[in-house]
This record gives sequence, C-alpha cells and structure tokens, in this order.
Amino acid sequence: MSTSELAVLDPSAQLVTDAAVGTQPRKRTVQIGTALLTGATVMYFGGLFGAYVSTRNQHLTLQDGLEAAGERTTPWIPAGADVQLTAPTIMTWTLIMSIVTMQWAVYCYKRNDRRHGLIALSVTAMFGVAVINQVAFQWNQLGLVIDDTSTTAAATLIYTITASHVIMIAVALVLLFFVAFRALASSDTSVHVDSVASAAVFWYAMVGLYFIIWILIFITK
Amino acid sequence: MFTPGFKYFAGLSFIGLIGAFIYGMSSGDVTGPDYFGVVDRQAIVGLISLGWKGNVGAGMGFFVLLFFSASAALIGGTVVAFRDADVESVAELDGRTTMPAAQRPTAPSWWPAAAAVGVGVFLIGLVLDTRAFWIIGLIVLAVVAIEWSLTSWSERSTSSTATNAVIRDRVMAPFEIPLLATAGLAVLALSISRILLWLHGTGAVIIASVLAAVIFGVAILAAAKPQMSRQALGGIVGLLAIGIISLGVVATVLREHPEDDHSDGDHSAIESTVSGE
Repeated sequence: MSTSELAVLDPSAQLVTDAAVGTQPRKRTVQIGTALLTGATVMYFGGLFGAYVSTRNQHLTLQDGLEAAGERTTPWIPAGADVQLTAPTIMTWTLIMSIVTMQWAVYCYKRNDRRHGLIALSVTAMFGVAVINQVAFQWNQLGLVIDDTSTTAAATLIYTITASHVIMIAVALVLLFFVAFRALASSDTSVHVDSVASAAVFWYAMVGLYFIIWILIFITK
Repeated sequence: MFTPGFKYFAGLSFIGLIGAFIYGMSSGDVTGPDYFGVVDRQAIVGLISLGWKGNVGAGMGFFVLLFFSASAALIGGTVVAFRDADVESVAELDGRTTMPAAQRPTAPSWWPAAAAVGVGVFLIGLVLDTRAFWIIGLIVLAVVAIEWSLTSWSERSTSSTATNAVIRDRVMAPFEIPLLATAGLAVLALSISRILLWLHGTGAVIIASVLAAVIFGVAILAAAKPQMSRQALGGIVGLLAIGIISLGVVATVLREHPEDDHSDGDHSAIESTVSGE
C-alpha cells in the first residue's frame, strides 16, 4: 500500500510522515534537575536527623535529671532491642564500593563502552539491592516495635529514617534502570552521559546520607 | 570566574552554616568553663565536631540549618560546573556552533500529579493497614509508569507537539479506551448496586427508574443537539457519574454502619432528595 493510499485510510499517518524529526534538547538540563531533586532529598533527611537528635537529646537530658535525683532511668534505645553495628558497617562499606562502580559506569558511558557500562550499572544495582536486603535483615534483628513510644520515640524515628533511606535507594535503582535501558536502546552511549552522571549524583548523595545514618544512629546509639 | 547562580547559592550555603553555628551556640548551654572568655568550651568543640564531642544546642534547628547549607552548596556546585547553563559555554563543551532548544516540545502532563496521588493512596494503605488502598495505589503507580513512559517516548519522536500527541494516541488509544470504559462501567455498576442494595423495595425501584430516566434523557439530549461541544457533553456525563459514585460510597458506608443512618428507617430522606421532592 502506497503512502497516499495509507493517508486516505488514516489521515494521521501523513501527519507523522511529514513531521520533522525530533530534536536533541540542550544538555545539562537533566543534571540541574537532579541537583534540585538531590538537594530537596538532603533537606528532607536533614529534618529527620534534626528530629532524631533533638528528641534523643531531650530524652537523655531528662534521664540525667532522673539519675541525679536517684530515680530509675530508661535508655534511649529500649532495653529489649538488639542494635548491632555489624550490619550497618557492612552496608556502609558496600555503599562505598558502589561509588567506585557507579563512577566506572559514567567512565564507560563517556567512552561509548556499552558492555562495561551495563556491567558497572548491574554491579552498582546489585550493591543497592544487597543493602536493602541487609536493612530488612536488620529490621528483623532490631526487635523494635515501630509504634511503641511507651518509653522512647527511638523505634519510630529509627524506622522512619531507615525506611526513608530504603525508599531513596529504590528511587536510585529506578534511575539506574532507566539509564541502563537508554544504553540498551541506543547505539551510542556517549549521548546519555548526562543521564548516567545525574543518576550518579543522586547515588552519591544516597551513600553520603547512609554514612550519616551509620554514625548518628548505629555508632552513637 | 564565579557565576551569579553560584554566588547566590554559595551565599545561602554560607548563611546556613553561620546560622547553624550561631543557633547551636545560642540554644546550647553556654555556662561552664569559659573559652575565649565568652562561652563554654564544650559548646564550641561540639559545634565544630558536629556533635561528635560536646553538644550542639537544640539539635533540630542546628541540623536543619546545616543540611540547608549542604543542599545549597550542592546546587551551587552544580550550577557553577555548568556555568549557569550559559549557552556559549555549553556549545563550546559540545563542540557546536549553534545550540538546540533547552527543552523538547512537550504538552502539559497529568502524570506527575497522578503519581503523587498513587504514592499518597499507597502510603495511606500501608499506614492504615488497608489492603484495598495500597493495592489501588500500586495499580495507579503502575499505570502512571506505563503512561508516563509512553508520553515521554512520544515527545521525542518529532519536533511537533501535535504530531507527538497523535503518535502517542495511535499506540495507547486502542488500550486506553476499552480499559477505561470497562473500568468506568464497572465502578458505575458497583456504585448503582450498592445504592440498590441499601434501598429496599420501592426505594430501589424509584432510584433505578430515576437513574434510567436521567441516562435516557442525556442520551436524547446528545442525539438532539449534535452541535453540542464534546466538553459540554463530557461535563454532563462526568457530573452524573460523580453523583452516582458519591451516592454509592454513601450507601456503602451507611450499609456497613447502620448506626450512622439518622433517617426514619425507610430511607425516605435519601429518596426525597434523589426524586427532588
């Protein structure tokens, strides 16, 4: 069937055929957008960390007063909870390793090395999934009840912060998936450096925030 | 050397950092052994070490200001790296003499808002432990993911917004129209069934007759006035659907919680409202 015959049956076909090809937008727009998203996420965690530290300090100050008066005191982390440092430390090191593989992906995209770029993204994603797995393990290990505020608000705040971070990892994994999909659908990965660099910025922010969680919650306790 | 955007965000970052330290110091305990003859040594050590040693005063304000400073620094660093999106700089970086548009031609999109609704419904379902809500939330998010992806794909196809919309419709309309029609009819049928189950006997007959008459009337109107705009007809049908679904929700709630029903028992209040008496 010729193009003119097809146009009679489907007028939109001619419209599509005659349209000018799509244009590549100006670069760096995605990176600026990602920087704004990352900044907003960092501010969100800043609020959570502030609430955690503030509540913890209030509790400890109160306990100091009770101890001075010879009264019974309660620890910030409930006595029945089992907050171990092993899993968070492994997660921190896992995420630090993921920084290297993430940068490897950016390096490969720049040089149009699709195969290694995809391998790097896969390894990075594997590290992210491993961390989510570790967090789930730790939630089971903690023995904290999320809505138990009878002694302290530690459980609620710890779950809120760690779950927020898991969501951040999930968002970062979605970004990696989109970047990998673009590489699969394109013959030249170097045109997608903007995308992979943007995903990398968000990933590094995620790693940095976990580093703070590691110190603030699990080392300081 | 430093771009205006960088100067702005660097200023914000600096203010945030100074504000965090002043806030931390003023809200903390400044009594104790003097340092610089003014404040407690522990207060300064605490602020410099971000609370690792000593204290940081009121943690909430200190951390919010500190992270405000970090966020501004991140954005400032990004904008200076790209020279505030200066066209000449980007063209030089890309090895071009002319620059393309900053944004592809796009049409207004509902998908970001729909995604927000999906996330909200999903979270409410998790918090309230209501399976129906989080399943609906997940379905909404899945639909949005598909629709948004295809919209994004179509917007890359040509440089014409109208043509891109045609391309999108050619791919999605064969799925969207039957699925939306089926889902809409299912919701309407469910709502009408809830109303009829709530009203017994004569009430149900009256409601069914009124609904049938209204639907028939709208159909006659559409047939008699073919020049009526699609927006006007869509508005009438939409209002009718919203009315039926709302009544269905009310009937479901009253049926599950009969103590909330303050009518005289034979639901005459609802009947009179619907029939306009």
